[in-house]
Amino acid sequence: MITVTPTGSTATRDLSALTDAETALEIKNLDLYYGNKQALYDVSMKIPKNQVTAFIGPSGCGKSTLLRCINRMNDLVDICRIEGEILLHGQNIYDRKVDVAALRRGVGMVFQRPNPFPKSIYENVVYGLRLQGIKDRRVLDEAVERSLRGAALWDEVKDRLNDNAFGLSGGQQQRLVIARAIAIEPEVLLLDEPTSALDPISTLTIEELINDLKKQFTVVIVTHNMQQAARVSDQTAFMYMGEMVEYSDTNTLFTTPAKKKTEDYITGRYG
Amino acid sequence: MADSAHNLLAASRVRLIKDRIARYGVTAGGVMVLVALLLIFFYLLYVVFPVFRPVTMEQHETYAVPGTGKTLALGIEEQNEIGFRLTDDASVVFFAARQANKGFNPGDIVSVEQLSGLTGELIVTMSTPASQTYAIADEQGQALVVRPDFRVTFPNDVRQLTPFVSYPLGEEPLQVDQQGQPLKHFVFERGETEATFAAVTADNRLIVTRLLGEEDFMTEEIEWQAEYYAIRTQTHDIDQLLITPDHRMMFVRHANLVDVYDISQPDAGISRLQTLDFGNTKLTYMDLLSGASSIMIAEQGGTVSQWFQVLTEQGREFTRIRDFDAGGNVSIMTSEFFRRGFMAGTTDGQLSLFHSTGDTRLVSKQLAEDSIDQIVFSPRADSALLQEAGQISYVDIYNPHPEVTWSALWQEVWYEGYKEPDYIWQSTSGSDDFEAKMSLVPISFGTIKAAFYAMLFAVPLALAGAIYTAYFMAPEMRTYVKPTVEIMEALPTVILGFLAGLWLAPLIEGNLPGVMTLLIVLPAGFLAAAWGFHKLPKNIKQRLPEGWDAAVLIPVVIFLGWFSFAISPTLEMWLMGGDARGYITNELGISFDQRNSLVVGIAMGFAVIPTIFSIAEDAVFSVPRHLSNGSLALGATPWQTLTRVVLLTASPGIFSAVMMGLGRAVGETMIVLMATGNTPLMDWSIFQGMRTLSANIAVEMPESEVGSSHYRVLFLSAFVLFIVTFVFNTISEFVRQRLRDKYSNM
Repeated sequence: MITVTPTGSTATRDLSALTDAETALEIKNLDLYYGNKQALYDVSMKIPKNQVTAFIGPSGCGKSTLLRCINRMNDLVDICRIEGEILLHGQNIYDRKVDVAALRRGVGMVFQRPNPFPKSIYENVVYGLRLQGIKDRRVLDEAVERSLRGAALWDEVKDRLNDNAFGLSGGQQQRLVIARAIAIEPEVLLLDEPTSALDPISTLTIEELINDLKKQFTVVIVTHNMQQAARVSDQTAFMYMGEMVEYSDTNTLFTTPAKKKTEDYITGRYG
Repeated sequence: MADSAHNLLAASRVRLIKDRIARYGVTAGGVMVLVALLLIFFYLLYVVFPVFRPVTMEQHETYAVPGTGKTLALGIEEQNEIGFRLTDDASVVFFAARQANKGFNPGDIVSVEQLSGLTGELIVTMSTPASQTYAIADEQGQALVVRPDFRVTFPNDVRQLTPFVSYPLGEEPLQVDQQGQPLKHFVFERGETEATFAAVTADNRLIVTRLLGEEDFMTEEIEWQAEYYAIRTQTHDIDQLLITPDHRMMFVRHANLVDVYDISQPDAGISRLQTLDFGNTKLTYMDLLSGASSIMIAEQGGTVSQWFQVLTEQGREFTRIRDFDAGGNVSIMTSEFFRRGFMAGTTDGQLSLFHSTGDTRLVSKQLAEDSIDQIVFSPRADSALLQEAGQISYVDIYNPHPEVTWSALWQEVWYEGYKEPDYIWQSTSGSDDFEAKMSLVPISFGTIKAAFYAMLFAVPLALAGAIYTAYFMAPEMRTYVKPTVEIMEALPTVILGFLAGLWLAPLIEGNLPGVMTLLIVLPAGFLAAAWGFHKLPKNIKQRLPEGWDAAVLIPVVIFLGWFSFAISPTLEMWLMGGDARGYITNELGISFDQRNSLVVGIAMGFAVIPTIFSIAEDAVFSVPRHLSNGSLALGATPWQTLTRVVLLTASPGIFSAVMMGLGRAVGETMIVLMATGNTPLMDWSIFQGMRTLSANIAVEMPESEVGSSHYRVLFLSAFVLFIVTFVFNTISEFVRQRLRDKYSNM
């Protein structure tokens, strides 16, 4: 059976009753279509601040799609159409006035495969800052150290900051990508199966890192690894066939799931 | 059980054999490519090599002077088989010059021709070498003009040379000095109906005698009428005379001066044009080079200087062009029949071979113990006869390409008749009087210029197009655009060249203001259209699917093209007085060729664009999505993502694309052949044509004589092209590897 180690609050909370101050993001009645095919059905949820929220579910359930809606990465898909709202600070990010680039500065994202740029470690970390036109060497240096420390990579790379990022191992590359994402100090950090391409040791390092990250950021993680969700997250959303089946504290979801589908999934009846 | 194991083994053996065949096949293919490349390389080298083989001069056979009397002049016929001497006892002695297996040993007398009508002590002069004519003068100031000649017959199918003497000006001696005095020095030249003698008589008069021939229409014999002229001069110690074969100029050498006289119209007076003053240096010899534009003057000490007429402010003046070192006091010089080569023999027996435009002493050798008495080139300059102290030597010369030297190929050369040293490619001319000018600089320059203008046109268009197509364009539109551009590559370049030369060049010439307008209006119009489209209300914009925005430009391009050409006549009327070509030539002072770099740039750019586009598009398109997504997720705009991540990652491919395009532009032949005008100029002007290495080879190879200097220089230019391409490709491959190591992605 699955062993659950509670990480956040132990008491069961009603996540829909979160106050605005406690909420980082609110998704309201979100429908998403790829052409004529609907991929998300009426998803609504509140994601609390400075906590780790995990999306789990079988492959193709729409968890990654939902995550990509939060920083509008789905805009890159031509045939994608979205109805409903996602509120960040009470403002709909799908509003016509919203600058997508500005939104993505506030909502960072780390992908499944480590994707460092073909630049030095240093340049990778400061990439986002340079985009904003920051040229002050001191500011950049500080950001590099802070971000690399934040991503638990500083000690390993501090002597070779000018080396090509491709020289790092997969796990290091993924931490570098996290450092790159947190260098611009987003409010929300989206992690899209961040450990699926990594070895167990690297996975462990990243998981520990996620625990540290939530002190500063709101973390949303997509994973198909239920143990991982159980280990790192405070609340978990189970999705199935584009629908949000159940969303509650991780503890509750894994020990006393409210829905039959959730129980079937976490006990391994399908997936 | 054993059987099935055996089957398994058998099956794997088939697989093994297939694998082997594939491996050897691939290896063999690769090796064959290398071998083919090396073969081309070595074949080019093989053809070019003789140009750089060292010149040799070998004394082959030496024998006692055949016949009687003292040698006044030596000669040898074209096949180097029979030599002849003109002697002071008025005979022409023909002898076997070398071992030629004709029943004669070297030095054996073949025949002797006795000349009649001459009395007393004789002196001899040779006219310009190519005419092979000699004049012999006697004590009474009379001269007999003789030409040793050879009749070729084929008895029993064996070629046989029979020497005889012909008399171009009749068998009777002609009176050179009216007063019948013996001549100290004399020279002569003859044309069809005129002959000119210049002489210094025993009583130190400098005279010019011109013979004018009149054909008797009954007997068809030429009657010669003599006109006698005397030149007043204070000089009594004239050392040497020369006249040019065109009867226009006379050179008089005495002490340290050479006087140049105009004798073109002696009846109107003979005037001194110029005096070449050598200061305190005494002169020892002078001779005319083939073509008679240059005079070579040897000074005491062995310096031989070349002089020819150069247009200066004072008119055409003899100017010292370049110096050679003969290594000692020159006692005798002789020039080649057709090329600008000459030999100089010194008083201590050293013989040196030179080439004037090659600017080199080709070879120098001690061939005699003492002063060389006589020296003469054979007509093909592949041998020489030399006499010193009662011995004649047959000297074999290997010197097929004296004019091709490093300095003649790559440095400025001061050619005869030119105002200053220059780089010139002019490989052939109507007459041997003008030498071939084979500088590779103008045609190499042409290659670079053509490639430059083509790349100037192609690189921005192709790269911008490739980036847009790969990164911004809707996938569906891309499936139309990419193959369309790529199919342009299949267009035969001969058709592009043909269109460029016969359609585009006149079109541009006729609509020059329109073309210039287009260059300004097109980018401006693009930006304006883009801005206008951006400002359109969103509901109109949304009717156009995303990524199809480029299609908006199609009508814009058509309209701007039409507009530019439509206002062209008006602009021409208004700005250029109705004649664009005349305006550019007269007002701006830029010469304008119809086949110019603009046409080539566009036509060859058109040929190069598909290459660059295709490779660069692939490179940009294959940048992994997760990299650009990573950048976008950090808040980069698509433009920032493009410039900071995508182009960086695609840079090895983009670099390759540009280098492939450049390679194509450098090697391209048909377009430049048909659209450049093939003018080997050195001028960056966009309105001037050029001649490229490749087009030069295509144009001149069919008409070049196999094995000639020209032929070998063309191969050399091919070799240069090959090496340039090779070096370029190697460097670019090296750079590409470096870039790929740096920017390749996982």
